[in-house]
Amino acid sequence: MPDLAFPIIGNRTAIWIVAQLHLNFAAFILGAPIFIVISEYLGWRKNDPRYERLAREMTKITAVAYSLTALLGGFFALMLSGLYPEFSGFLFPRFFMLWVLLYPVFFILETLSLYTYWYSWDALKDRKGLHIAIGVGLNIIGALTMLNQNAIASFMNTPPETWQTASLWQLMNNPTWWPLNLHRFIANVVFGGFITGLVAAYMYLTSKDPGERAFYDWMGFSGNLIGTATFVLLMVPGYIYGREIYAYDASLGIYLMSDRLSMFFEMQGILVGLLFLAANYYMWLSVRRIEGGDRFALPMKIGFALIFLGNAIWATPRHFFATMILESGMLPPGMTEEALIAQMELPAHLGFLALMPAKNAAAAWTALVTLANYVFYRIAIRRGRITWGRIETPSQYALIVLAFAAIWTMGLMGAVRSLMRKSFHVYNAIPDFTAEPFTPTLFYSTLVVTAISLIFFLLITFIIWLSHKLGKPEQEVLPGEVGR
Amino acid sequence: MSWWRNLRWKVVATGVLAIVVWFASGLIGFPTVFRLYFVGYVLIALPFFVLLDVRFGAQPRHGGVAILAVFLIASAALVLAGWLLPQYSPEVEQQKIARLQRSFLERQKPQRIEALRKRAEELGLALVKRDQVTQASAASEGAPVGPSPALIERGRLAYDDWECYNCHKIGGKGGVKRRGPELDQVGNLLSPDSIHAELLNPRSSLAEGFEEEYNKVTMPDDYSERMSEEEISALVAYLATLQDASVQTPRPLFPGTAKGDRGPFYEIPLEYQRTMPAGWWTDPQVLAEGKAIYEGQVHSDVVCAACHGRDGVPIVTGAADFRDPDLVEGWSDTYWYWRIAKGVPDTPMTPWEGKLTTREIFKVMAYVNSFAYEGEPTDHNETFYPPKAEAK
Repeated sequence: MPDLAFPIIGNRTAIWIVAQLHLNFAAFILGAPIFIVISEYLGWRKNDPRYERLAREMTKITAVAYSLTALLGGFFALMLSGLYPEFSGFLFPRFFMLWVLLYPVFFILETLSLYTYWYSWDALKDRKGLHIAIGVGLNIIGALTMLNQNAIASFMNTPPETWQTASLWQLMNNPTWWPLNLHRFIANVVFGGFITGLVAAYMYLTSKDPGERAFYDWMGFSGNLIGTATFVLLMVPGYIYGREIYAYDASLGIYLMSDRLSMFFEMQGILVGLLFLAANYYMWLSVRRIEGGDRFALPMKIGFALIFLGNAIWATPRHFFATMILESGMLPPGMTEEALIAQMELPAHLGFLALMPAKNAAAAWTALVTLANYVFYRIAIRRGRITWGRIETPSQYALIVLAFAAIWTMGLMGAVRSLMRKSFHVYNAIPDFTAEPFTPTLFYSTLVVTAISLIFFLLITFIIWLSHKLGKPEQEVLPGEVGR
Repeated sequence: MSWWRNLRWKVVATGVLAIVVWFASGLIGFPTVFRLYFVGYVLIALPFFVLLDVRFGAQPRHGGVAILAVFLIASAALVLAGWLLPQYSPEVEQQKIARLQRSFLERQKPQRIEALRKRAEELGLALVKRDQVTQASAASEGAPVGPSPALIERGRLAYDDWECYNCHKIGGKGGVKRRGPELDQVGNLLSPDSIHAELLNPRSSLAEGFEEEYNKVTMPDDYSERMSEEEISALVAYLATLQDASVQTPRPLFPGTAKGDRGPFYEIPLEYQRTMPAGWWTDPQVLAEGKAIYEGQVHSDVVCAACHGRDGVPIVTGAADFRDPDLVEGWSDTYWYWRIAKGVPDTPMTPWEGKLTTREIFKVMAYVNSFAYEGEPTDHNETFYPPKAEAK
């Protein structure tokens, strides 16, 4: 039978798009329920209807997004077995229990618990504890589903040395399974938080009613807070994940940080800078709209300068060429290799700027500035009045930028995670003998990631519109225009 | 605040800061491209700080369109950044991948041929074909390979293909973090045998100053499984040509004591850096010849058994007890060979190099090695170099 070839974009890009779209939706439907349940709990304990409404509105979106996640997952499995039959033939028998038995079981259980959680909201309004317990169950099943699939994804990058004779558990419990689990768990909450911000911004910008705008203003603030706080935390599991990759095989780590994927991390640096700037700009506008908040302007501006400085260090590469060593074709005519390196590479005494201690220090002070800005907000709100629904409009664009950057970063880093195994389907075990085993250029990758982000963005916007604009409001909960 | 008031001092301050950054980074020693990069950051900060002081209303217009516009503008900016950042040519990597995949298939060939042979046997297919295949394979594997310019060039490519530059440097080019020794004059310090041993067994010698890396076995220990024989031979040939004495490189030291307590280490001259020929540790013929030499049947004036005992039980005080695996397993080939050839100073163990040939010394070593395993021929490489997990 002849090999199948996906038209125009080729097999790899086709599977890349479907896999990443599935992952984006999966991240949202796994991350959102974590803070949805927390929000419902807070609403119940604090007797604050805003939390309840936030939880309910996000669940409505999650329920619709869930169907798309499942469809894309099925589409992905079909594409994989059709376009990569040999590799599927290797993978499916080894992970039969996970892929063909456990995964569908978890998915069915998750479907049942999600829809039970959603449809029992009104029926269990007097038994909140039980309803929240169903939500907790939903999250546990969601986490197990993620662990299940992460085992396969991490195996492809870091198979155990004796993978030929290893048991299923040994294949699952490979060196980067738990680092990936931890990283994805927190990243999903970050993603869910920023998508909540996007929902709020969309609703704020398209609402005419002041009460509605007050609620969505508050919801946007909450989404930004969840997203940013967990984003700061995400750096720790990210670091652990990276360290485990280096420990497994230093050449993988070097491929990521210093070789063909180094400029992908340059892009990540730009995106991280964008995320921090947007999140802190939002906080700047949040503080400014509080009476008396202007007195924090100077320390916050100093903080912004520090963020720029931190990001400049974070994104300083070792050299301005995209590989570990110069390759043929990189040398301009008439120039020696030594001369080009002298122009493009950090000299030895400044090489420390390209190493992790410098990057960690820059990341730490950027996170500290973000924390300080939140502290300023808390101080300001204790002393002044806040009027929800009257935040300056650019704050909503900041929320959109945050969601955009989160979607784009997830796409980029998803590509990086897959590309790090170089020309292998399973690193050092199963080579990729197809026509596309090489690492695509950064430019090509940015086009694909942008396309994926746009498709996801349009789909999620459609879901928001479908859930909130097309349907009638479920309940009339007005949070009040003035609050603390 | 009016736009002009908002802008003027910030423009001046940005200009001053950009000039300061430009000159200061130059003084520190940053190359021009990095100086431009830092100035770029200063300039990008300007519109942001201007934006901070602009007051906007809270009444949105055309919300849905604005969302899409923000998204498209941000997408365009990132695609532009992805286009501006340095790129590489996938064609270069494709050539490298083709070589690596050829090597992978080459390495798999014996197993595949064996699997096919077994299957053919099961199916009762003609044995003539099988023999032809086996012979052809044996002929190609046994073909002598000399350090021809083509082989050396192949080795240079293998150095790049296997990304040795990640941890090592040649001519100052390689990883910024010093994970492994510079290799500029490795050909002056290690014999081809030792380079070969080091490639397959990173504990066969220690580069002075890299004790931590040696103990952690930072260098991958599975190149014998990942690289083809051809690549390994070519890489050894290439590395042996690196003899630039002007570059200071760490001295290689060879371990010479029991496993678990590595060290002391010895500096062993190039001419004594020899390793056991492949397969000799367990070759019955070699062991039989080694036994004859050990017991004095070959050279009447060389009777190892006179001190070390016919069955490995020492007869003379202070003679090594070859029955002790912890002792024998801790010796690298080179250390062991060197000790027999040059003797052990201040002990009755005299140099035997004048009386035994190199091959004879290795035959004796192979035989003596079996004492530690109750007479069972055992591959010394597997015991001298335990798996990474055990070593840790």
